[in-house]
Amino acid sequence: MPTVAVLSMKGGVGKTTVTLGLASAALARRFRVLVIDLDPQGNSTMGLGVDSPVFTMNDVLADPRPGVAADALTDSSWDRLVQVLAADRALEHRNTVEGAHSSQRLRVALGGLPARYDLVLIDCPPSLGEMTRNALTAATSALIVTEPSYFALHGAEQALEAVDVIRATSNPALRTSTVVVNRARTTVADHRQRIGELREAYGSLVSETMVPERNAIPQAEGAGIPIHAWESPAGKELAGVFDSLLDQIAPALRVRPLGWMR
Amino acid sequence: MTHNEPFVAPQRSALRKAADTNVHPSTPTDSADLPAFNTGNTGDSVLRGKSEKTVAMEVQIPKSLRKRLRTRAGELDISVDELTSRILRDGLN
Repeated sequence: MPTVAVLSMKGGVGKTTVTLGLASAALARRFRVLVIDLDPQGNSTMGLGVDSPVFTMNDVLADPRPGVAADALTDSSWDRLVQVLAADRALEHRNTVEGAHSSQRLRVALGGLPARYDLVLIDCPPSLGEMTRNALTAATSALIVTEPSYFALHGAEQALEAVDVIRATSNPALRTSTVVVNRARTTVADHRQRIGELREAYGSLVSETMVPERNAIPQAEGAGIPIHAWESPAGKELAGVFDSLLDQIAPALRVRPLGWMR
Repeated sequence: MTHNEPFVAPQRSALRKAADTNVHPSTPTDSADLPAFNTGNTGDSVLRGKSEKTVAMEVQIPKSLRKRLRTRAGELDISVDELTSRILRDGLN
């Protein structure tokens, strides 16, 4: 199953927005989705309507026995098809090297769990530390989120280097990354310049699909509902954007599963 | 329960709450419990606080673990005793 690590070195560029947007797109096609929140801020957890989960990723990674993550699964408030491995602030304790196989903790703890889902999304913290190493080691592909700004582009560059490092060390199967630009305003000259720089540097790695800046995103996140359920012109526009991005990162999910009406 | 009903052991979760669940990530864990300054001394003296009385304790541990302790202590530039105390203090908190 596609297991996508959503990352960036810079904070605030929209990793959670993209994670939730993709989860929303997959849910709209009635696919089973697992969101793994590795950010101690727990924004994906909150956005999916999970409140006070019994177990979190902190508990899972503190005791990463094979398959133990299944005990921490929590239903989202969106739909029974979307489940969550929640984050809490204590997860920050795990963002250090622990033990000889530290970067393998997530992969081991997940065991066969990803096979139960059509799509697994890992929302990484805004750093390239141990949590992100774990995410990339467990992932089949990486999605790097950036903004069209000078600092964010540097963050994207660092994240792409991190993917290369992980591919050369703990996860040779990690596929080529995709870079997605969030909060794009093509009417702004500086944005056009930065997007041009990004395409020049990374060519086809940069997705043609860009996420525009719209108020519907924080509104839907605040309401705890998927963007596909946000009934406004901007909501519909964003739904189309995330549908397109999902087609790109998980082509196998273009077709609705048999029995999706169940 | 009658003898005809099969006994089904209650299933317990394999997962446990992490020991540091309720510890705020900003909580200092190393030497923060020691006062940084001994305020009973002259103003230009920056001294460590009174150290707690230490005692000897003999334990049997795997040789490989002792090697790791020595290596890690060397990396941190502290004694094995100090490192062991820190690990035990953190583990018991």
